[in-house]
Amino acid sequence: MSGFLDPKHQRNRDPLKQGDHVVNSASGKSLSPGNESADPSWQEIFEQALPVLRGFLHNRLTQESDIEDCLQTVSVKMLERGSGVAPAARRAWLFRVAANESARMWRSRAASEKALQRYASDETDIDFPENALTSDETNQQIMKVLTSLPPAWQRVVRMRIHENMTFQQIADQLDIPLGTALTQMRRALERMRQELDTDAT
Amino acid sequence: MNGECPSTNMPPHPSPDWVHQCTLYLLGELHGQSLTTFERQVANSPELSEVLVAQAALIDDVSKIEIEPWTTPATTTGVRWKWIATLVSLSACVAVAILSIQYFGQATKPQIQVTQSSSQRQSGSQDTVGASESESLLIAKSWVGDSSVAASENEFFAIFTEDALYEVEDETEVDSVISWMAVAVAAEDDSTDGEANDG
Repeated sequence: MSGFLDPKHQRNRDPLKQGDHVVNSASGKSLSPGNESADPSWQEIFEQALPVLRGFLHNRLTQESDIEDCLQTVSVKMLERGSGVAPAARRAWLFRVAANESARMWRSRAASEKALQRYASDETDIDFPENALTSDETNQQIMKVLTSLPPAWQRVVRMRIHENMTFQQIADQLDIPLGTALTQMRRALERMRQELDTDAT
Repeated sequence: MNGECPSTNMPPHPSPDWVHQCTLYLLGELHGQSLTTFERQVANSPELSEVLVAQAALIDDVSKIEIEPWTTPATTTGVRWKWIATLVSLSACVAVAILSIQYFGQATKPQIQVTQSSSQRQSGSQDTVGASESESLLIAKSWVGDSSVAASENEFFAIFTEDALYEVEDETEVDSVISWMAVAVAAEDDSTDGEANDG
């Protein structure tokens, strides 16, 4: 189990109890392995992502205590809200939450420090993954862009992200080389990013 | 806390390799030395961190749209095409085999007939010679074709010596029609010489 799911690493917050049967003290909801939110794969994903998460937050938060706080918040959100995340996107979701939390932390600190007020006022709105108001519009936009892709690219994106197949499995099933599956995924995401950036501007 | 709050926007011109590495990492498909290198790079590169979070946001967004799972129609199509390709290949092989059998069957049949007529001639009497000559005439006609029926009606087409027959068997491998015509000309020369000697 990750250190961030272990009480000895918890400082300000104490949402979890020690042991395999984890309980969120805030909601009283059981987060044992039998619970969907405590899916072992989530814990594994968090543990595997931890080195890069930490390195990522080092580039955003200068103080070690802030990094630890942020990681703690990410682990709690993972347990509380991670059940609805597609398995293939779990690691991506962790990084998105970590980015949002670091930005929120940075903003709250900046708001309390007079010297940094200007940066706080200039900051753009942060799109939290759980923000339902923007998600519908974003989803429609992404759906439109996805369906405009060449069918072969769409197929690889859907199989990889929505059906959680590995690239090797996709290559085997479609009887294409692994490199082709990787290239199609890469091009699909590049095209989607270009289209979404164009729509945003 | 120093400096500006980091954004979640992709840097203007990210390295395509970085974007791809980030995608593989976020999808859990980066392993071994590549993963170790990537972990080290992220810790030391704010720009790579921004590429990572931008790619994470994209993958997360894509995962949220509700679409029908890809019910692998392409896979069944692929299987169907495989079957069609296999059937076409088999049909082609069978056709080639049939054509080959027909071709070689036609090529060897006259030789067999000529050989038979030769052995009949060796055995001997005038009657059998006459019969073999008519057979040979038919064979020669079949090789020369309808356009040269008039020529084939000449008797010299039916007269073959042993040497000429062996020569025919050898040369049919190169070009049977031309060989047969050459044999016919040689036979005519031989018969002319024979008549001169007899006379």
